[in-house]
Amino acid sequence: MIWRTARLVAAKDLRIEWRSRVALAQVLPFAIVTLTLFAFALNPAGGLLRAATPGLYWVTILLILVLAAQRAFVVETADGALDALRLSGLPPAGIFLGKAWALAVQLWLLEAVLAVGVIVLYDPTGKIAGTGPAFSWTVERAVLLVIAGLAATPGLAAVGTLHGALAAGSRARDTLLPLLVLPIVVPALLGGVRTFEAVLALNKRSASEGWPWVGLLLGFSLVAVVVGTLAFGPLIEEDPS
Amino acid sequence: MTSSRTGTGTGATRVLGLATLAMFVALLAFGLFNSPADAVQRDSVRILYLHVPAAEMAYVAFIVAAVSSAAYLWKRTRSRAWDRVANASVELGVVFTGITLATGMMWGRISWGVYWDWADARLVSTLLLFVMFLGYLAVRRLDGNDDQRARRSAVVCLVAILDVPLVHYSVEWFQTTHPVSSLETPGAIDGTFRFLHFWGLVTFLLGYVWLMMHANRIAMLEDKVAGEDLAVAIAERQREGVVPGATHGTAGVAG
Amino acid sequence: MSAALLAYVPTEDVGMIVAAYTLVGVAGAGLAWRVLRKGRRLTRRVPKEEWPWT
Repeated sequence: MIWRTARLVAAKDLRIEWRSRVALAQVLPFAIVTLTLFAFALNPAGGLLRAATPGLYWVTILLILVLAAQRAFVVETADGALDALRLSGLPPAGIFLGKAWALAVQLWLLEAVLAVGVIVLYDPTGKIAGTGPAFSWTVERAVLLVIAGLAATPGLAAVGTLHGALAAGSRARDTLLPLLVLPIVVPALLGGVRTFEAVLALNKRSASEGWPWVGLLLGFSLVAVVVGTLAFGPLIEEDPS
Repeated sequence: MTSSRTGTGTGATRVLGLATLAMFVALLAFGLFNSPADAVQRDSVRILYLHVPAAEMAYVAFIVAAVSSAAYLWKRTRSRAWDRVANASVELGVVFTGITLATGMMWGRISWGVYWDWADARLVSTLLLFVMFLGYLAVRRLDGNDDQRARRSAVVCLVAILDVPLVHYSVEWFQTTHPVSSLETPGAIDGTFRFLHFWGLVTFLLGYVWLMMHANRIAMLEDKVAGEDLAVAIAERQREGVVPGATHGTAGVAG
Repeated sequence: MSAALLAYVPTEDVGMIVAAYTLVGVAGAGLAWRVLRKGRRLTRRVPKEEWPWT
């Protein structure tokens, strides 16, 4: 029942997102603008941009997470759809997992596009600045980069979904959500940054140093998904009248 | 002192309040004048007589809030009383955390030469704890009925409490050049420190209990007043004939 | 004040140390003032027989 609900809710959310193209037409361009601003702010010629690439990448992901989590519950509160979902008798855990899954799928796509973006635009191998370490892409580096994104995203999506539901429908939502979400996802930021540094051989890190951090990302995701699944029920339960 | 006509004080809180005050004055005298400078920390140890108890009381306050939040979320123990305790405790916990951060920075300026050190996991996770519970206080201000607010904030409280160890652990791991905390160096802990630390902790604990009692009484009165205001407003509307069939109460009416 | 009480007076960083104690004092006094004022205002609105703690 839980898994069936999750599948249905995820399919519904992804269908809505696909039809409205908000992720594609607004969130992604926002991310590109952010990357551009970082490039202006941190002079690329000095090698600073290259050194900051992992941090900038993950901070951008977190900003996207906040936007996407808001978006995920705008569609629910618009016509009282959340009430309908709640009163439908579907298990809250299933609704939560479905919405988190849909959010995770969107994040994965955006992360993939952004990863290509920073690798192409931020000169992470240091060729232009002439400050690069001996660096060349290997299979391990590429796999590590992909796995880190795969491992961190379920946790990010769970935190975003839980707090999106929490702030849904309130007037203060837009300002409240970043305040609630961003401090909580700090472990994912740290793990993601260190892994990306290992991928790019920054700070003399070898690729193999990245794997323990993938473990942290997995642990974070596990905790976030479990806590979110448990907490979602009490959060959206029907108000006693 | 005889009981005054208005105010949330009772005999118990008055004794408690005066004891807190007296102990704080004594702490001032001990901490500033009557205790020698530490062999290692020198005079900066005087700030630790405030800093360490404040940090410990912040933990106490947040743990009380977390237990109360869990008790509220669990249906069998759900009661407005838990929500009142959680809210009051978080408010005090935030103040204690603020004091911890501020006095810690002052101590750091003297001992390390800088106010802040990003390599110290304890500093960074305390800061994030502070921000997370500022988020809690923001959630308390959201619109919605009492039960909704209580459930939302209970979830935020529990998530924050669960996340803090994870944050601490990952920051510690992130900073490979982690300095040994000066509080743990052996020279810092001697008899004077132990005594004044205990004294400070009891002072802050009494102050916490005193504030909690008052805050709880205020919250109970607020519930009562809000319920009565609502009842009066509904009665007025009904007299005007605006709401002819307003028969069922709102969740906001307590008792 | 007796000499014993003033046996040790901080000599280094007095400003910072005094600031720390002042901060705690002001914070405590501020919190106390806030709850007492609120309590006073609310207890005026509710008859004494209905105070939940008596």
